[in-house]
Amino acid sequence: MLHLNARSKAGLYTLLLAVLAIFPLIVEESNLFLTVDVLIAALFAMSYNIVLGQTGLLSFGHAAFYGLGAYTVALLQMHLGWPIEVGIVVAPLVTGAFALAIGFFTVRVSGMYFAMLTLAFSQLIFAMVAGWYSFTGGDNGAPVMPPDYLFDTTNFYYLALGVVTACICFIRLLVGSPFGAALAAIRENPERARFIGVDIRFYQLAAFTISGALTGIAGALQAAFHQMAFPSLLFWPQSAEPVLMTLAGGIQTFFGPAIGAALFTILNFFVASYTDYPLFVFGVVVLVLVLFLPDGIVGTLFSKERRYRPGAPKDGAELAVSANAPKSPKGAPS
Amino acid sequence: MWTDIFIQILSGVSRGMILFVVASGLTLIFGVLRIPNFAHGSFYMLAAFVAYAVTHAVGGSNLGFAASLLMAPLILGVFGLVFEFMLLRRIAGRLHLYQLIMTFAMTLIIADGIKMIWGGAYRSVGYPPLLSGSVEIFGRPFPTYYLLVIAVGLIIAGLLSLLMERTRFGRTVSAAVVDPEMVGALGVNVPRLYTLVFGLGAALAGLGGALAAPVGSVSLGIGDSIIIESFAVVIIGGSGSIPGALAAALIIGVVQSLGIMVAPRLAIAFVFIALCVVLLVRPQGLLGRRV
Repeated sequence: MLHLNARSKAGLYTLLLAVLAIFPLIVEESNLFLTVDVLIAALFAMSYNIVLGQTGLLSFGHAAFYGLGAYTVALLQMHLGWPIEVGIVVAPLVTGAFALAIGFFTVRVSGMYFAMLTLAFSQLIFAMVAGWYSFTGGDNGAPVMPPDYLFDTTNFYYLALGVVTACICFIRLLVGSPFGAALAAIRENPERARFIGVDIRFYQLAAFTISGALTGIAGALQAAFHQMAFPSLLFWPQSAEPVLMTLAGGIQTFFGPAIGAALFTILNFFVASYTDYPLFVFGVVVLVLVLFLPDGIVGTLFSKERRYRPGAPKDGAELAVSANAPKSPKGAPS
Repeated sequence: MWTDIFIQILSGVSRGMILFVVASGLTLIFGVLRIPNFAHGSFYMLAAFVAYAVTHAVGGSNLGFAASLLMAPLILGVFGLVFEFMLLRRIAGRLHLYQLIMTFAMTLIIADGIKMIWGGAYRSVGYPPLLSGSVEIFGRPFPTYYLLVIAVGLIIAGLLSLLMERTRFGRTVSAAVVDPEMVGALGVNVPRLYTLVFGLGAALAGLGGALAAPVGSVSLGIGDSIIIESFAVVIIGGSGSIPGALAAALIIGVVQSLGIMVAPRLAIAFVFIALCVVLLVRPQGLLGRRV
């Protein structure tokens, strides 16, 4: 399998960024439009992977932060008249605060219970946003009015590219820091992490908060780009999206979620325009991925980057293992 | 005033009973087997469409209703068996995340599958003629059909409790979940046991769907809210506990029913508040045994 050293990796990233920088010159506008969606989805998925891949927490409620980020931009403009640039800056603060509050309650439980509790909280926020007509516009959504220069897809593309690149650099620094190492320790073995003095709940809460804040930036960009914040951005199927993207790209890889995001966004675009039954096609694609590519695309290509074998979940590992999980549910380790 | 509240509670109980029948299936699948089956709400939705098809094929009579009550659980039960045997079994032993994603994929496939067969339009089934009237309770009319729903819910609760607590099958299942290797070594075919329980759970979603079909409209999207409520029932009730699921479903049904009276827009939020409170105060659920 492929294996890159640090130097060729740096070269690859520089090349990627250079290609992205001149992208508006080489593709037509409709494709550039799609590329902006890919950038936003990539940020969403990579922010999400801070909790799933790095910390081993299966959150099933990240749609709440995505939607809240979008609504922050829309509501600040609607009620206070603040421009969307300010909204994009304020969004992570708002969603981070929500993530801190939700995480405060949810990190007390683990595994599937954590997933279900995050789902419950996000549905609560969805119900509030969808029901509070006078403040959020309810089902009709809240309109966003970008400034003139951002109506141009190329300009918005550069804004999105800048913001997303900055966020990804931040995530890279985070993952490589002692803080990131502590998160990885919690993922690999919470018992041992506790034993060597890691305050597990504190680190989980911090990871959840940072992840929620970054997800809010993705949501803010989404609302600004599509000029609308909709309640469906907070609805639970939206929470499955970053999970699928991350899984498709590779949970235990850094850029895997972005690759998965690109795959799903582009697939979504073409499937929706060529068939009447896009969900069916999606479902089959996901089934095939789970059955045949459990490590994801990037995870399979660069198998050396894999840090554990999904076939053998460790006893203490919290990653999606329920609180009272049997050692192997069917006595048949795969 | 008080009679109104009583009638509202009673209709909440019947709502809760449908939720219980559906959620009792999830209690077996998620609470006992620990498979986070996101497709459970889709099973329910599919069953409602099957009930619609069967009722119309037979002619909308009492017989048609009875046939739908029989066929929907049967078809969904077989569907569940096949789904577990063909797909879920292949990823057994991997992280639960993969099961969650696989069942999520199934929700997408079922949603569009229904669209292919029945189209996206709303359908209605209607009460069976025998139960279409209402009975008078404290001078207020109350739909007879709701009484049937309550009766069916109680019967299912009784039968399932007996099955899980009093039979060899139930005890083998409980044991197999705690220590599959040991139970397997004792000569039990553990994978087959899992398939059977999953099929039973899916059949219960089927029965719930058939029971619910005459009450509201049959449409795409009816699975969306019931899946969340069903997970809430399993967690509030305590995983794997049938009496716990009954209590939780009734609490949710009544809370929603009364909530609609007080604050219509926030009725849905009460469920989540109840869920969060229970999880924080008693993480194992109301009647959950394990801590």
